[in-house]
Amino acid sequence: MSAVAETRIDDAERRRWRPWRGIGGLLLIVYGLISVYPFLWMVSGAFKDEREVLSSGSLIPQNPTLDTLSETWSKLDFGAYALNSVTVTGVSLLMILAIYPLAGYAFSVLRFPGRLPFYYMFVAIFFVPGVTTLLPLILVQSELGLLGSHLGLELAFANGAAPLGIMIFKTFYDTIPRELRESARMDGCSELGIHFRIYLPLAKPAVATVAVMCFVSVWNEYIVTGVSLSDPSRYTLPLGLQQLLSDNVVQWNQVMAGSLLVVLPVIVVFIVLRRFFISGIQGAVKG
Amino acid sequence: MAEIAFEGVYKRYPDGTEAVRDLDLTVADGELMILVGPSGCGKSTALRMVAGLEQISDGQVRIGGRVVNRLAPKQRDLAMVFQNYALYPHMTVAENMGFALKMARRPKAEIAQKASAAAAVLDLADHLERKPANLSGGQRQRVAMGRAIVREPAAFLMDEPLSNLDAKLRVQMRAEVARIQQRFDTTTIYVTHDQVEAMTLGDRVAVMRHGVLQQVDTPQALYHRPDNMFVAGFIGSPAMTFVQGRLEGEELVLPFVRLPLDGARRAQVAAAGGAPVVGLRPHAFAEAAAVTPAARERGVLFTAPVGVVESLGSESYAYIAVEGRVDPELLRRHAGGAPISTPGEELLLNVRLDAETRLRVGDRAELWLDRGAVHLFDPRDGSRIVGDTTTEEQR
Repeated sequence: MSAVAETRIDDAERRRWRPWRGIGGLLLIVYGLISVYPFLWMVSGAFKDEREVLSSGSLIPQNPTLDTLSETWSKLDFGAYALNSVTVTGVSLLMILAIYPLAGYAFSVLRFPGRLPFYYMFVAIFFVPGVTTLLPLILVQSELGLLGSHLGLELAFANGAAPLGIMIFKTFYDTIPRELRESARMDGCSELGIHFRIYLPLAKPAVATVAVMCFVSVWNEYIVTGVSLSDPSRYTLPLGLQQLLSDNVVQWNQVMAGSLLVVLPVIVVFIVLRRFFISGIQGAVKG
Repeated sequence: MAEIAFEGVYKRYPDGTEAVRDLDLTVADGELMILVGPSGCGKSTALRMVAGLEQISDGQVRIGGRVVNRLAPKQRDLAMVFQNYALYPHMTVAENMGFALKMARRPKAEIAQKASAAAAVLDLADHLERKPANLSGGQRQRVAMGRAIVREPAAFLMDEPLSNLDAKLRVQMRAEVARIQQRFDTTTIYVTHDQVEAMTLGDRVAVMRHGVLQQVDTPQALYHRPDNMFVAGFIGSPAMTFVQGRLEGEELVLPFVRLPLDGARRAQVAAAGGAPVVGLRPHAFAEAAAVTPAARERGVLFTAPVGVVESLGSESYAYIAVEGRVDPELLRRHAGGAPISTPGEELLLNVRLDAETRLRVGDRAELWLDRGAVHLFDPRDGSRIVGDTTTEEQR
């Protein structure tokens, strides 16, 4: 009742004209346009031909064509790269979603010596720049005989998701009342049973958040993949895309078309999981 | 069906605090035992040790004769109802109620049949396919009860199961809990901080304080013969007032009234130091004009100025300011709380009046005090010297 009244006052307050609000809004609009322009340029470039992409700054193609997309698709052997990307991303995600919910459960619920030091150690990895671990990572891959293989990448990516995965699952599980676990224990669940039957089904937002964030970063990963892989038949999409830039004459419309094809799945995944994703972030922040 | 016994049970935490100390208590088969006390008295800890959710530091808990100290919760064959119900949010009502049976790998048909039978008892039949988020507080509470019933356990454990309900619903559900417990005749331990709930619900009530069991008895016995000042002050609503008394010749002298004592009582009071703490319940009083001549004999008359008058419709209570305040430190130690603070030596004595009382604030009331309903306590340890001696027919 009072909440409703307050919302109304808020709305009225918001509608009232204030000069600084107008200026602020204008600045935000300009900033938004600047941010989104390169992306839109990429999208429009994918529908332009070779000459127009260089001559016209307009975002709307004068002679829109699908030829660029189909040429790029066949020229790049897109299917093969896409398959590599799907494999690497898929296996990494499976490992991430198999390991970190359990790790988060342990850090949230179980009491064991060194629980918090270990937890903060994992969180601290967040603040280590990825590049500093590049060389050690490559050395480990080569020691294990995994250099240049997809498995070497998948293990590295799964491991790299540790701070994010553990933190999101732990904070989410922290918000689940402990009575639920106790009740499940009385009902005859083992510790693993409690996790898989009670906690994990409730953690859909956390699963979606971790899945989206890890999907994006693994799908787009370029540096580790680039250093590790040498056989072009194992290249993922971002590496494949680079092939377009190594021609003598760079065909920018094809680069744009390739980029669009690479980015498309990311956008689709985000849209599908958006609802869970946002509530997962909110849950993590509140926790 | 099982008897539950605590035998010298202790709960110590690593930091050295003792939540439960040397608890000896036997809950008979089919009995509804209430554990009651202020927050932090160890009642929930005691319950959780039975459930297996807390380790037992020392002593034994037996369920049906079997020592369960080292058994996991699921091996103890108990069902627990939690204060916040602990319903699984992602499961329907039917799934919630059948979950324990599913864990026990019972056939699907049996689970469905038992869940719907429980739902029928609890008036939840129309809600079996709904999720807890779509239920009212009372319905959630009933689902929590249903989850316990479905398992047909050796005992029910209930940890403040009604505390999250509003006052009106709590009274309704209180009757519901009593009905279900009687119907299934299952041993039940019920934890609450609400002494009204304890008094109305329990076959027997165990009062705890600071981890120590104070007294176990029927609600009537706790009310009329409390073992010490803590139980006396905790049980009964409105609460008992404590007044400082003094033995003088053949009489017990309070600042506002003199009570004759018989020889045996005098000896007991003298043995306890001669300055007992006098416990007076509001129901020990009446307006002098309303007392029959026969009853008048049993009591003494006095006059005092009326402070606040509170009318509850069926009866009224008045606070009258009198002298005779008990040392607040002594009260804190033995009764767990200081009286309503008043300036100087005065205290507010709560007395019951008839609903139709004409007394108003500032009047001088002529009041009658039932001699038999006076409780006397030893100021040194707060233990009872004399309890309520009025007989059933006199009440």
